[in-house]
Amino acid sequence: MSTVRELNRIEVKAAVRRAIEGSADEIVRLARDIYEHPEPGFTEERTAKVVAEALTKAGVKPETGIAITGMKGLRTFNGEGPTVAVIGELDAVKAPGHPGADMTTGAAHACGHHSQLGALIGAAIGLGVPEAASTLSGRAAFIATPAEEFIDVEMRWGLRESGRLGLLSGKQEMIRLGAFDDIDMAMMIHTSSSKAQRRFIVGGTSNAHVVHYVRFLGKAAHAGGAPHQGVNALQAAMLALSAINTQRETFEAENQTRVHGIITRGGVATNAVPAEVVYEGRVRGRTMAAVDNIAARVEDCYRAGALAMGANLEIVSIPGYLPLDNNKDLARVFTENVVTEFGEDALMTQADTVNAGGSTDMGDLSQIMPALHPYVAAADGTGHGIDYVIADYRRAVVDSAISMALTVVDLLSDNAGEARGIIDSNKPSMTRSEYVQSQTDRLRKIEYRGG
Amino acid sequence: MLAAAIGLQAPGVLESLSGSVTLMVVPAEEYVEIEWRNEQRMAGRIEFLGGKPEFVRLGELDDVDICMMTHVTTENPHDGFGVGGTNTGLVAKFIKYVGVKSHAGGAPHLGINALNAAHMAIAGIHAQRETYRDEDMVRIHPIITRGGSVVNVVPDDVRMETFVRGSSINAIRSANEKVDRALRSGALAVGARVEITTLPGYLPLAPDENLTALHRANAEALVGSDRVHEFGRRGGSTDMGDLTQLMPGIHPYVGGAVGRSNHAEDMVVDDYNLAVLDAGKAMAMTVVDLLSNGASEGIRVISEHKPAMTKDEYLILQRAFLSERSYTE
Repeated sequence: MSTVRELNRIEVKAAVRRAIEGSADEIVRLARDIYEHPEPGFTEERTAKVVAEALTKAGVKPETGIAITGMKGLRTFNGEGPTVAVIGELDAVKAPGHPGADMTTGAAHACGHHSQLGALIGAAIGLGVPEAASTLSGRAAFIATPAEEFIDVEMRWGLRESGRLGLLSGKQEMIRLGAFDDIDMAMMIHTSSSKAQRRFIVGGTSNAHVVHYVRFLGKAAHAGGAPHQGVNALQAAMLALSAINTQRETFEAENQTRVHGIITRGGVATNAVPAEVVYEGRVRGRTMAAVDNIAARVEDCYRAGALAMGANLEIVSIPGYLPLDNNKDLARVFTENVVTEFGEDALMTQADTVNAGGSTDMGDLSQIMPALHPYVAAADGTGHGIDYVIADYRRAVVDSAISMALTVVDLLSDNAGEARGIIDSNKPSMTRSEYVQSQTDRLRKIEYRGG
Repeated sequence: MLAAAIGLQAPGVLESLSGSVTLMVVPAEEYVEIEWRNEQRMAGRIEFLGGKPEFVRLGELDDVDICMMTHVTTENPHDGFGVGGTNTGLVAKFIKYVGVKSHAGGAPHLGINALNAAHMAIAGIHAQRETYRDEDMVRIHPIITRGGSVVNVVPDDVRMETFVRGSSINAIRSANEKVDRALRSGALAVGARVEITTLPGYLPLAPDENLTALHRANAEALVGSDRVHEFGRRGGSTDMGDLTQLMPGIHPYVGGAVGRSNHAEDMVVDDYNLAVLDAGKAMAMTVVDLLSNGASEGIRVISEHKPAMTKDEYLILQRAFLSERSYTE
């Protein structure tokens, strides 16, 4: 006769932590391997393969190919209960000149997503211990999402036109496809190069944004021989950008407006009047209403550029990200684990209003379910710059895995009482179907004839 | 002109000539202070904003068959004459951007900056310069006559004046359309309103060849042929251009001035003998040539000249340039 002793939560956590510590080298190696093979959003084929194999090895065989490269693996625990997702982002940003940049695509892990994937696998390994299986209720989902960086808009627009994408970021599209329908709450940890000595930074929000894909359409002609027969689309774009700059004095400081973009096509030959100029831009701000207001004025600036030159214009206004709304109870459970595991000194909390100015599609998830998006201060350099590298992989990968896995233990222990309480008290700003409808409706294509 | 008048009154001269000589002193050749002149127009005191077009409208030139004047220049030859050549025509524009005032430091988001609208409009005008053909001699050179009230208020009333010049009426029209697009785009860019008043200006100068030859011979007799140059295409404009579209006319230049260029602050006449006396002599001698022998040369000049338009056609053309429009995009 064997007596089944009730495991207490401390013992479960210890087992989870031991398993992650035991796999530390493996998950750091995986993160470093992904760093060496950066792939931009929706093309993360190799990254996805590596992550899927590691998840499978951890006993969580994922469903793959969701939103092209995304995946979701589920671990079901002993009892009934909610599903808590741990998320890692598959994609690299583009930063040519970065030491880890792909020579062909310019993609580089200058935003640290590769270490998220190490943490994701670590959390899957940790929550795979028998002590967790027998004591937790509900499920843990391990989700790798494509394309958090909202870049390569023309390519993604092409994917949408060919029916392969509906919404143009990884989490947006996975929500649209229903991959989050059976998820009750979600968390991930992003790296940060904050100089703060504290290990984890919890709290804050992020900017909402819309994405503009703009084509200025002029008329080609010999730039030396017959410029009077051409319509210069590059001049139209330049005027549009100048016009946007004149608007900056009207941006209210509290809205943290950001308007910025790149010209992805600026003409084909220097001795031909540019007939097509393509601009990819963002309008960011604290609220969707503020973003919509500024975006309308920015659209007028595009029109003004086209009007001045007699050019035509196509504006595709693409729904971007919603502001991040960190769930307070999830944050509480997470910070308790950080303090217990790493000490008071490891934690920095910031007010919900703190906004660095960037945006994340974790913001979208946070509007439809309890979500948490803390930072781990483990990098050096400037985010998206050529000097952004993970300085402390142990912290970025292993500590992140431990803190998330232990948070899941707290959420799903004792018949998942904590998780159930969070679900009950959370008031999402919209339902999933409302979200999909509203984001889909926000996609607009506008044509304008300035000629 | 007075020199010519004095010369033609020398004993025996008038008796030997046929026809008549009219001395005409015309106001407002420089098309400036457009806002003020436009107010005079709206008050009914004038219709056209240049002296000679207004003279034409009033019929003051109805009994004139041939016209000439001489303009001083800093260009070479400093000691002689420049003859022939063409000048551009123009339309004039008065532009008003209407924005919204607010505290420029405390509440710039509540304002609409009319100066930024004008700034963008000027940038738009510049961006189109590559589309103008060399031969069209397009010149667009705005000034801002009101740029805001005080520095800590978002400017809501910004005014500009500009010419749109070109070597042909079509070139002026085409450039004017492009300028209007740029002006509208400035308003669209910042959410302001623009009021564009386009005013009839001057027509390109088309000097009569026969008259030019007569005047040139007289100028050469006065200063020597090496000091009389053939002028080419010129970027400036004059309402003498309007007269040359209606009748044989010339607008030669005489040196005797120094400075960077006409209209520069250092432009002064330094040789009055040339600029006044020789210029007057050349014109008086040309009048003698035209009106001697029963005015046979004058009659030939008139008969060989094909005016580009009648006075009525001229008035229709000029009046068609007038437009007053308001745009928000």
